[in-house]
Amino acid sequence: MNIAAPDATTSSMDRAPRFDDPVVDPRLTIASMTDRICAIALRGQSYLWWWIAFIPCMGLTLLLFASIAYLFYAGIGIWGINWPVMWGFAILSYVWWIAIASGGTIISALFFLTGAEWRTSINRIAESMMLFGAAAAGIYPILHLGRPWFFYWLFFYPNTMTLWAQFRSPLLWDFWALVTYVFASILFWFLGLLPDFASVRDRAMAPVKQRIYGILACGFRGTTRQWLHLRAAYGVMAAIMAPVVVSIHSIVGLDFAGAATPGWHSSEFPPFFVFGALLSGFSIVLLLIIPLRRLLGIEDMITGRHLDVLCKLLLTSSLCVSYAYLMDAFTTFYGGDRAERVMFTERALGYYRYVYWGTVLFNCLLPQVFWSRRLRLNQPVIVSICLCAVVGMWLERYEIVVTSLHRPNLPSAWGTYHATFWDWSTLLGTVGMFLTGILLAVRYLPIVSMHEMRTLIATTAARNAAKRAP
Amino acid sequence: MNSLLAGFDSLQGLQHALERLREAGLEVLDTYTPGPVRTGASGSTLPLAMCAAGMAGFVACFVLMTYADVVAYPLNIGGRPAFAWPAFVPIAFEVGALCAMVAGFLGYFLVCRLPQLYDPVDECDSFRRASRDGWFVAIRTGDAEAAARARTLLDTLQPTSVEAFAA
Repeated sequence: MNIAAPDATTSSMDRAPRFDDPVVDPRLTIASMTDRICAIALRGQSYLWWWIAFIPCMGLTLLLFASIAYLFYAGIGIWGINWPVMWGFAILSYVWWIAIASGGTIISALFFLTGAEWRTSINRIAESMMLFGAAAAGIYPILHLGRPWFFYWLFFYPNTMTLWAQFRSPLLWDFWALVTYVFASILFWFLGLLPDFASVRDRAMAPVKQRIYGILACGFRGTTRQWLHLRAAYGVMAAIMAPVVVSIHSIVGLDFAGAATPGWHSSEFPPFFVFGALLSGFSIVLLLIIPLRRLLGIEDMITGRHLDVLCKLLLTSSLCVSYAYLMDAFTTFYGGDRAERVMFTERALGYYRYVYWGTVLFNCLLPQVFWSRRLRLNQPVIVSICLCAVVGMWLERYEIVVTSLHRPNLPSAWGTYHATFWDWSTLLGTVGMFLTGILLAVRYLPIVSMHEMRTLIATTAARNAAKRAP
Repeated sequence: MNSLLAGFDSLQGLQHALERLREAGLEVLDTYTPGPVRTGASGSTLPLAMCAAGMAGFVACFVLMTYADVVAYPLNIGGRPAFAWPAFVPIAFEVGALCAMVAGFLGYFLVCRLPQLYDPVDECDSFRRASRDGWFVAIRTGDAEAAARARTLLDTLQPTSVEAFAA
């Protein structure tokens, strides 16, 4: 076990990120890139840092399983929810995770459609983030059902009770959006992986690895036919994923907007939630690529250009979120509904005021440092700001879910909410599960999309050659 | 051993070789490349299939919801209409999108005849480079005469490797 990068993964651009970095080091060839990415997946012994990260994450995952087991035994009374705040950690963490997953899809699908070159090398990391974020989100709706064994009542199916689900309810839309999103994410991710599994299969020396990666590659060999259909299918899938990701987070927003609760009943919610998805997505992807590019020695594939672009996008999404917060305050006081005003005053000045101002600080004010180009390339600053934004997004969901519910229309129904140990253990457990998934993906999957990188390297080389020619 | 696998250093080398081999009347050619090759082949039919599946999923889901809420189990919620069609659009869209994705995924495996874990071309040692930086063409001929003709022609095209395999 060696903490330094091995020979096969040594980066040739080992220096601090700069804003004029190319999107990929021109010295990289398709052969050296393929060898280095495959070597990470095929490495016999894991890196020391990998074990140091993996063991605590695995521990948290076990904590999640224990929390779920106790929840199924004892029921949702172990959580802090009660009237009037009957939506607590389960919903707010669900929304938070869905936002993180959606951010990954936006990078991988939306920027595929725009043809952004910087997307190529971070696409696989963003897709892994989408997959494990969606998995972490996906367990919450089942957990928060009082009787989770009846979750299948939400499907269309003929039954002896002659009952049907209520299709006019946004909560049912949400169920279908989540089902579609999780399955579609898996298909999109796996189709993009096929050629890269083939590359790893062909580099593998050990028969066991040859078989495992061979089965995963499903016999992809790079024939004309396979490439032709892959590009066509992948392109259309990206074009479907882009509206699906916008729809899922809008529908999550409609879950709230559909209720007559003060602070929720607003047509602003769908776009507001999508802005939040952008902010948390860019934050998490930056938090992942900054350590990974160094630990895996891929600084010549994920360069200063990537950091610069992603920080600019983070700043943009922070401005969008700030606009939504401003409008939230404006429509409340412009609208003139007494209950809405009372709720908002409580939100800003009452019992949960720290949550509200924490949200504003972390999501609106701190990201403004990215107006400075120097700070957009300063990795410790980026990591701190992104961590704050991720926490800020969670606080925003807390503020939306809890403070709205604790001041309903009837003053006699006012109350407060506090999370219990099991709320926190489930949340930490999902964080552990997400990170465990990411670590496994980093260790055993081709973590950079090699087939797309080959095209990028070829076009970059052609462009540089054209520039040199008079 | 009447089939040949020839490797080239670059896409241009491969494309040049393909032209020459076709001119020589050798038709059963497969390419194995680390990236897509523009061959003038007609476009994929998958997008059309995905579109059709998506539309079908949307319509089927919409009809099912209409049947459920209007005919099978009408529920009066504050006098709102049972046929509340705008409220059916989100689920119909999601189900349609899911149908299109599944059609694209399964369709891909169908048109490419995957999974196909073994192919005789795997026996060639040089073939491993096809997923790295080697641009390969396989010539699958039935008879020894055509194979010999192909080999003579290939030798003039500066391949990095030529291997025979049984297919």
